Amino acid sequence: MLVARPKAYTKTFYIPGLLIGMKTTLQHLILNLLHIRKIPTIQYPFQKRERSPRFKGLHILTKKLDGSIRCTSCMLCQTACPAQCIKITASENEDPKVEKFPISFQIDLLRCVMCGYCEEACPVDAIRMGQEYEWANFAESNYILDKEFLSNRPSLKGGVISKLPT
Amino acid sequence: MTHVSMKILFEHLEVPQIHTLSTYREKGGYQALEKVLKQMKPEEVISVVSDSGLRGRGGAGFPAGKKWSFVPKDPLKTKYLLCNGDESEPGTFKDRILMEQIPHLVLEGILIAAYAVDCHKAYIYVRGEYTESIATLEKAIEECHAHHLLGEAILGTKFNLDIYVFRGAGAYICGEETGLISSLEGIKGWPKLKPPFPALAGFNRQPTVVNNVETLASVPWIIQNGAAAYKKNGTEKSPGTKLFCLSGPVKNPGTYELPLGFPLKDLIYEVGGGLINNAKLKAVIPGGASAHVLTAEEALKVNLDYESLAAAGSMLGSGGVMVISESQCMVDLLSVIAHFFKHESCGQCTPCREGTGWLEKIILSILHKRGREEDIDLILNITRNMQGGRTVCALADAAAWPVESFVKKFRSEFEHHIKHKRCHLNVH
Amino acid sequence: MSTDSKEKVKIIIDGKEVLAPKGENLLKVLLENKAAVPHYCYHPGLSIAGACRMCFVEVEGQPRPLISCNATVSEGMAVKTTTEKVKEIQKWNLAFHLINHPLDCPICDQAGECGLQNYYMKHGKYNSDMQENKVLKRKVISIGDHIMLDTERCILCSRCVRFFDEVPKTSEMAIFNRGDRSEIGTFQDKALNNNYTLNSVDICPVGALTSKDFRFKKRVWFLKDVDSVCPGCSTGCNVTVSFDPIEKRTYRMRPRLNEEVNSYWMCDYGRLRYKQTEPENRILAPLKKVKGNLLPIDWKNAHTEWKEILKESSELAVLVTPQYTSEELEAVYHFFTQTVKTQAIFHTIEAQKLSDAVIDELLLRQDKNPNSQGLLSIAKKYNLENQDLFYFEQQLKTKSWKTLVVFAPQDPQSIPNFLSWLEKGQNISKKILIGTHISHATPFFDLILPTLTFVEKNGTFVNFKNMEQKINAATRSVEEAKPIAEVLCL
Repeated sequence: MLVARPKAYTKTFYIPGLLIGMKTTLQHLILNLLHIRKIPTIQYPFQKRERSPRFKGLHILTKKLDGSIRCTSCMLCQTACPAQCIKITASENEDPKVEKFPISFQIDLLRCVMCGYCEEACPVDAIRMGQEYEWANFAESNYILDKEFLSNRPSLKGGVISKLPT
Repeated sequence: MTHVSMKILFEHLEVPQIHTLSTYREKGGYQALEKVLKQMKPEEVISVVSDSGLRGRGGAGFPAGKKWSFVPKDPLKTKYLLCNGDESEPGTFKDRILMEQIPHLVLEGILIAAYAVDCHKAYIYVRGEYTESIATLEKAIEECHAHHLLGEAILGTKFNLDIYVFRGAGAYICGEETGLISSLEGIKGWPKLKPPFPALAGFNRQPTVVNNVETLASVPWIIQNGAAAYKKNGTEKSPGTKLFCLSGPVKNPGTYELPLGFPLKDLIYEVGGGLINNAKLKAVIPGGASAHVLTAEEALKVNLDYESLAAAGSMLGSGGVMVISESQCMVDLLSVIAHFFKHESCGQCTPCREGTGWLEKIILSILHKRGREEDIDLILNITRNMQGGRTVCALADAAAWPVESFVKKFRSEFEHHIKHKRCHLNVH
Repeated sequence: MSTDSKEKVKIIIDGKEVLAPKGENLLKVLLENKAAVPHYCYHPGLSIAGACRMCFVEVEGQPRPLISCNATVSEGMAVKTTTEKVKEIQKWNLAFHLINHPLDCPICDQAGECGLQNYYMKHGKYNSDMQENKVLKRKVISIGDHIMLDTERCILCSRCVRFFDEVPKTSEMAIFNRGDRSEIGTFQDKALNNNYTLNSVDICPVGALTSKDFRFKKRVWFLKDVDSVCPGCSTGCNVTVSFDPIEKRTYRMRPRLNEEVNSYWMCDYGRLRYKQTEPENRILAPLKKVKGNLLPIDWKNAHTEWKEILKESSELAVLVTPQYTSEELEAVYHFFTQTVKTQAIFHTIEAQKLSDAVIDELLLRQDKNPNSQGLLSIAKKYNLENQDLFYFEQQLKTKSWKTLVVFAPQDPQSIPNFLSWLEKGQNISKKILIGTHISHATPFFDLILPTLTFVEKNGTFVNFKNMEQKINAATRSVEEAKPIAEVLCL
């Protein structure tokens, strides 16, 4: 049964409410005009904001001191990944001290939710979430990142070396 | 020397050419065997030995007569007698003297024991390094065969026995009775799980008696002179005499036959003549390297028999008395003992295999200035978890006891090493 | 062990009274009664070693805790498995096992089903006190075609040594050296050479022995298990098939306990039969011969072709192999005798192979078909059991069949000269193959219809002892393959 709601006369006078709502906006407008140097807006992409070191951006596969890939393909990141975006194919390494290494390491960036679980799961500091976040692209296939891109892309300038003992 | 005692094993030790059959027989040898074969039943032999209270001289001190009585009487079963001449306990060198000097005494003991348990094949397992013992034993066996003391129809009776000398490869673990059996069977010298005990299923899964050389060598005298005469020596619960191997910085080291219950103080200061340069006594290991160490204070109060040493928290073991003087660093000494047990652990069960290695590494760390404060408690934890029936044989216990007692009784030395990164004696 | 004495006695396990056969191994009874006693060296199919010292329990009246694997059940025994003392022993023995273990779980295939990992989570969970250098031993040693050895991971439980001593009786493995330098291995790394080597990987509680076939292929926690029966020979070993449900691929087969058939073991030959189910070895779609070439077609067209062929039913011969389940064979016989109305159904069973004993005196039999007995009993039902291959060859000379339908073996190694046999049927104008294996997809046939392998279907295999054993479907590796009923358009 529908019961008619009693009329709220105060709601018909909307102008005061509008002004109350505008209060914050107007406050900031005036403050910004007075302190134009402290304005929080930046001129992206010419200007970039500094990221926290904990920022979770594009993945990096780190390297050992000798430049080889650090990942042992234990697949713990693949196990931890909630989006199932990591696909690793392990293979036998010629060096018996290394034994196992990933012959292919793929991350499907379109599936990735940037949660950083892979980084936390990794027992050997082989995968890190980097600082990059500009990865707009034209083709879907370009979002499947391979081992070479993850460890050796130009922006990494020769790759990231992890100094933890292997 | 105030304690003049009866010599049982070493009665004729000084007689020249005693290792030959003719001299041995001149001195009354093989009369006990003749008495046994011609006048006694096997059960009588066992009861005489039981009455004498003779206890195993290898280390555990198990009554010999009792051990023999466990062997099933079934005449269809092949039985074996193994004489344990492996003598691998550090600080022990008594069986060697018996085997090298009076081999016929050992053989006579084996013959009597074999008759008692109705066995026709006996093996003497001799440590690989004892080449001279092997040579004299083999020569003695040859002589016995020539004089109908071994082989078929011994001394004209129906009793047959063959004795073989088996040369071991010098592993400590092969002195353990089941390890010895494994080694004799031709497989790796790993101790076997008990039960079944060797008395029921030992060598080749047949009933087997394993006795120490010294135990068997005591038997002829007991048969000849009776259990009561044997009991006159020693204490009530540990009758008889025992060979003690005195080593360390004493003036007269050597093997001495003394009645059980002999005061350790007298052994060191009267028989052994005291310490070299009259150094102060620091500690004594009374029964081979695996026994708990005794501090000087404890050592001077204790008597050398199974019960009083057990009461003092140690054991008589094989009778290897090692004297340690004041100038000896206990950490250094323990590292040697720990290395020995690590090297001799057979590797079968985990606590011993890993524990001995771990202990050695920690002790070496302490010795080499890398010790940590928590290491002492860690050592005690490890030793506590290695002993008390945690392994197949007693090697883990044997490895844990010296370490435990060294650390407990000389803790300050270990602490000094850890704290000041050097020895309080300034020797390292 | 005196298990033959059936006398049951009462024992008390952690305050709970249970009945157990007198003289039975205590650890076996404890495990059967769900007491979580850790153990490494004990394996019910092998002799007792007592080396790992993990299975300590306290028995009332005994002064010290004792290892349950070397104890036997006796009347009124009160066993306690969870006392503080037992826990302390378990914790420390685990610590002893781990101090020299390399802890290379990230690259170890055993991770996920490793005894050390499991018991650490259950009984350990401490920080290691081991501050010294570990004993280093040899790693990555190839011993044989199937086995990779890592002596550093080994906990020296000696299960593998006892296995080769007692089951294939080849005594190929041993423990070398003493103390903490002990290592398992073969003499001078000689290759293991028998048909049962991979069982040592199953029984290895850690990652010391790993299978080369499974090496680095998959982490075990991605796999799901399904109970099945090995299709490798007529013994019909009970197995567990492990597959990845996402990838839809089978990764390994391991034996499953069945005292009456295979005990705890299976042979290497049978174990690798799962490879025939991989998509690389399979017919992926229906194929039709067009101008001497096989071209893939869709099922709609394939069924139209098939129905057209069936119209000439009077001159149709069928050849079945004993590689299909009893249910499928029943459907085949029923369909061709009742619907198509032909009696020319032949089977490939060789009578003398059926009675042959095992080849290697253990499990593998001469008859490499899982369901020979099943096929025979069904053929008997239709009175066609005498129509074997020999009879088929004779009939070929007299009868003028126009169509031949072949139910090919799923495993080409079971009947290696299968294709050359068929050469004799060259003159038959239409030849249809229903099968799975790529090597059978030759232009000899006019129409090829893919069906399911043993991991993709449910059914029954009847082994040489006439034991009916059930197989369960794991995963569909090939989407286009269809069950026999759908292939035949029943």
